[in-house]
Amino acid sequence: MSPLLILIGIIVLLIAVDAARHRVLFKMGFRNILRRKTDTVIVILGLLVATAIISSSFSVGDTMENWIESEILDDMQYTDVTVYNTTGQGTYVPFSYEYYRELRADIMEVENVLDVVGEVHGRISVFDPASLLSRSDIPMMGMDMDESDAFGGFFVDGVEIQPSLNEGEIMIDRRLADDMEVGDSLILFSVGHPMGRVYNVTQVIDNRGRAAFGGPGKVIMNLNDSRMAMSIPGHLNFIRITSVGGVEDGALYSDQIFRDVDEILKAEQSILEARENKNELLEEFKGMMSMFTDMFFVFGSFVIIAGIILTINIFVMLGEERKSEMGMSRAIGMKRKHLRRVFSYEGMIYAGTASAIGALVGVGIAYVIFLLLEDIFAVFGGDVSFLSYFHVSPDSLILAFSAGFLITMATIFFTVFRISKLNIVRAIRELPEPPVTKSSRKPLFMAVGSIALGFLMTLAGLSTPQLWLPVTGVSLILIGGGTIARRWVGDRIAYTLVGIFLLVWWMVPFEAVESFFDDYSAGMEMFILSGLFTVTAGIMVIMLNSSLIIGALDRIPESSKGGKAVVLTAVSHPMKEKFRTGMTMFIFALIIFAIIVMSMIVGIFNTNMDRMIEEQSGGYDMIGLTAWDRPIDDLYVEIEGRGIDPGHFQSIDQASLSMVTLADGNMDSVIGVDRNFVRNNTFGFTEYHDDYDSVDDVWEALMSDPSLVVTNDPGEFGMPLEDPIGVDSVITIMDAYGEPREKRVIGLMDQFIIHGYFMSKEGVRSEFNTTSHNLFFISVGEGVDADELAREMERELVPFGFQPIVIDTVFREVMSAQFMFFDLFSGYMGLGLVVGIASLGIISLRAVHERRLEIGMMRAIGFKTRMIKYVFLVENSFITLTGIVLGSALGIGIGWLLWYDGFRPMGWEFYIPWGTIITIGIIAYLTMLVTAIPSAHKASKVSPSEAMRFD
Amino acid sequence: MSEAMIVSQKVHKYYEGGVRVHALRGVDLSIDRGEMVAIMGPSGCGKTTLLNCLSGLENISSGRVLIGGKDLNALSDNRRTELRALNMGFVFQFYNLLPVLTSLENVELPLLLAGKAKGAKAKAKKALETVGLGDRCHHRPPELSGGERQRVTIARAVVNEPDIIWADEPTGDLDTDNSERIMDLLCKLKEKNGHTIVLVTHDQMVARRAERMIYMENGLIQREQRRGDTR
Repeated sequence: MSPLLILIGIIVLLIAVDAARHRVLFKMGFRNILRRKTDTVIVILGLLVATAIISSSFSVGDTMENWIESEILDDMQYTDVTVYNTTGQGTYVPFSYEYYRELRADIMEVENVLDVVGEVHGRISVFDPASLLSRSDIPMMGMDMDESDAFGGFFVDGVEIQPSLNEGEIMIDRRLADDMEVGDSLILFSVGHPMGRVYNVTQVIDNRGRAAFGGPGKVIMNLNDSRMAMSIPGHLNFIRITSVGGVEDGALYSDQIFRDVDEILKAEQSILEARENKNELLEEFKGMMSMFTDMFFVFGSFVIIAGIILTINIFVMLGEERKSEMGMSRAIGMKRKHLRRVFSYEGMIYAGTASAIGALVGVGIAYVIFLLLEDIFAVFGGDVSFLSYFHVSPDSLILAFSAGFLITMATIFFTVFRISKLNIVRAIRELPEPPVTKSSRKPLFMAVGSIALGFLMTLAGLSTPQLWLPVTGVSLILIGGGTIARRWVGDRIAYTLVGIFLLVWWMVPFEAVESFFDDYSAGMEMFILSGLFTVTAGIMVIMLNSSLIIGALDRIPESSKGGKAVVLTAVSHPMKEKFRTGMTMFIFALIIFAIIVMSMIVGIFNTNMDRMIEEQSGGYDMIGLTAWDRPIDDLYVEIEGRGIDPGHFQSIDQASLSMVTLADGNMDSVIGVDRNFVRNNTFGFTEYHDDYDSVDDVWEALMSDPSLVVTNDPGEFGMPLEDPIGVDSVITIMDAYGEPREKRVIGLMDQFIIHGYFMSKEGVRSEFNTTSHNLFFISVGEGVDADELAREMERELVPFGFQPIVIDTVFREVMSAQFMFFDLFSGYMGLGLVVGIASLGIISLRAVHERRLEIGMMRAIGFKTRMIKYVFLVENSFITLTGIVLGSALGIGIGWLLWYDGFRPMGWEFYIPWGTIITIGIIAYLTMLVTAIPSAHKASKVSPSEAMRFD
Repeated sequence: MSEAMIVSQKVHKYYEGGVRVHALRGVDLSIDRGEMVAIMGPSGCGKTTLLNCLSGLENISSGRVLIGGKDLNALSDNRRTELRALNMGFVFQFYNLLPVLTSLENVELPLLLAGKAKGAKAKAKKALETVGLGDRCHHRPPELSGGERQRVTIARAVVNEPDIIWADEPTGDLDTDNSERIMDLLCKLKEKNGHTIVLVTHDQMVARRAERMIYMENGLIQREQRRGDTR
């Protein structure tokens, strides 16, 4: 059982026992909930949002985990551990059948191993003469059909079959059959069949059982044919091991089997290595999937904060509503702890109900997220049916419920503690609390605490270079300083200055403080904190200078009869109730801020898309790759020989890509380029060695010295590395003969489209034993359709497994998916608007209730029904629009900061997506009206006589 | 010999805020056990403030208030609350009943707060019968008339058999008939149970039911008048 649930159980039990001992207080708390049912619905709606966000992020995590687990188990099926090795050219290392038999005998001795099979795996290209469709890089598995049933057999439409493949016969899986509309035969191209060989398709099998492995869309051959295809007669190149655990429980044994097999291989000094381990893969991918949960949680944190603010607002208002009753209760002998009890009982029921509903609503939100994610994945050509993997574990639901319940209860306890400290007489007579005097000691203590905490955080930032520590620390010192300064200059001047300083502090470009914080790292927490501090600062400035707003409105000439009276009355009220107004404005502003920042990023990316593509493409239109084992000597020759018009090409720069092992055992790639590439490419550099005056000098040096390399700037991949490669870094690469070769990095490229160490082609050929080309940088001629040409090249060059990538198309597709993710996160954060609207709804309903006397009086002195309605609409509009404008302004400000520090140095243009911002503002405003109109209508229905009788 | 139930010695009360208000300017007063005193005076003279300070609802700025010999200033907030729960009853102009509780539960509440849960319901019912609302036990305040609500408030004030009943404009929101009935009730209960009653009122008719009338002005007691005293 979840420890959180146990904690909740204890809390509920304690409160229940306490409630049994104080039945009247419990009765009061319970009946308070039933007092105004509309209010209750809105309160629950507002309180459930935080839980819903937590629950949805957990549900996303569960489903992604379920999906990846299913994918891995579907793919690996009975295979728990694999044994193989790869060459520097990316092909599998062959080994003799005799060696396999010996090794198999040893592995079969390992505990929990059920069976072992030896196979031939590889990548091939196929062409279907019937449909004329081709695929350049698909997996192939060659196997002895009779060898083992322990891997699950073969299936056609769910029915197990006993296939036998003769020479020239293959089986293909359903994915490949559907994808290529395969007929009776396929022409296969591979290293062993460079000119292609026709195979008859005997079965279209399910991708499960023994056929499952290496992903869908595959070809299965008999062992001899596969040896021919891979040109390794008498050899195998792949071993699969299955345990006694079966498909799912195999993961329980795979770690142990992996370890034991690894020991055997090391003891034998085998050329082979133990590679995939089912359990390790599951854990690794589950870890990657947790990133999704984290991202949704981070973006959802804005909504959770808004939910907490709403909870405070709700209970403060409930406290205000019952102020007189509480005062009387205190007068007749109720202690503060009794008041807290009443609210705690009430809060527990609210929190329990809202958290339970919120946990379920979160599941619904996650479902919608996956509906949208399917569309996003479809951009990449994926057809993942996430919804078929939709799964929410009871543990997650319990955890979401518990977290939501505890957050709500903690907020309620904190708020109620304040509420209970009322002055009895003022409460009974419903008099406003007097302003905190300048000489009050409590604010002074809080100021000292804030300054002390700020100093501690700033000091902590000296030893832990996390940017949020000093930035937040200085902000707390500013707030504390302002609280002390108010003793002399008053609230308005002190906190207005604090607000302005905070805004300036959080908007200062990093460039200005770079000398202090050069080594500091910053992450998503800065996004959240910047929102919290700037919105708080903005609200402080607005609320403390409300008289200026009212004064300005007062100076507006009367344009319609009673219009000015309506506006002044409408604006004065929220400005009088500073706390509740400020809190509601905060919610709107915070959510709008978060959405606008996202929109700004998308807008800046969109505006600079062409520039980005130009930078990333290095001046090329297309990049082409062949299969590892089928390089091309001269692409120009092949093009002419296969009937492709050479006039379609402006230039083709041919390069050699090799997979290499670094001294630390990691794999990486080396790209050998020639003078044509050096002449034609326009790749930029973020940094290069001082010894060189220009990028041309860098490339020239590279051409003449094989010990020099350039590589991608690690920052281009957005991955924080412990020891990132920099200019002058020296890396050691093992050459084709196992000898270490030291390479000095002389430049960092400003591109992430192709990764590796660029060096001279001659150097790559001599050190890594490549003789041909497998990587091509292509520029198409004027007016040539790159996508069409790419399709033609893929089709005509299928024997080489040629895969063209049209940079512009792929880039826009990737960015489009990225933007869809941003939109998804924006929509997710937009749920916070529900919180804002709920908050406004509560304020409106409360306002109608508490101002009935006043409304009656207004009606009596000449306010018409329509004008009363307008007062309430203008009041709500004022709060919402101020929140929207403030949030938008701050979002634009932080967006500018991101551009200034992050994109401006790259020469990117600044862009404000006014259209998106206005659309978001209108949506937020219109949804507010849905809540405001009923309460405005209700207010307008209050008759003067009824209101004067009100008590 | 009479016993002083409520004593105030040089009680001052300031309200801090934008402007400092000196609401009580050194009030000296002694009220005997079982006495009924009416405090009168123009609006803003400090009569309600005096009642709040004497009952411990508000802290005084200086001076002393003794209730049954106990110095209120020396008591913590909790001890003062307990003192109110055990020894005092309150009747206010706007009733201030808890709308979520029935009449019976409202009346029962002080007993429960005073730790007298045993037989609380029966006592509350009896108190309601005493004020003539035995048949309204299960009605909630919004379902009662103003006069009825004030009678529930009186039942709530006396259920605990307190030494002192504080009444701030107890008839301020009622018509003449209902005002008469409420005052009759208070006097009857005083006679029967010996409560000390301190009431603040603007109404001469109500004040005349008290044994002593105290006139305040500018935060000070200007004069006193005993019933039957023609000066």
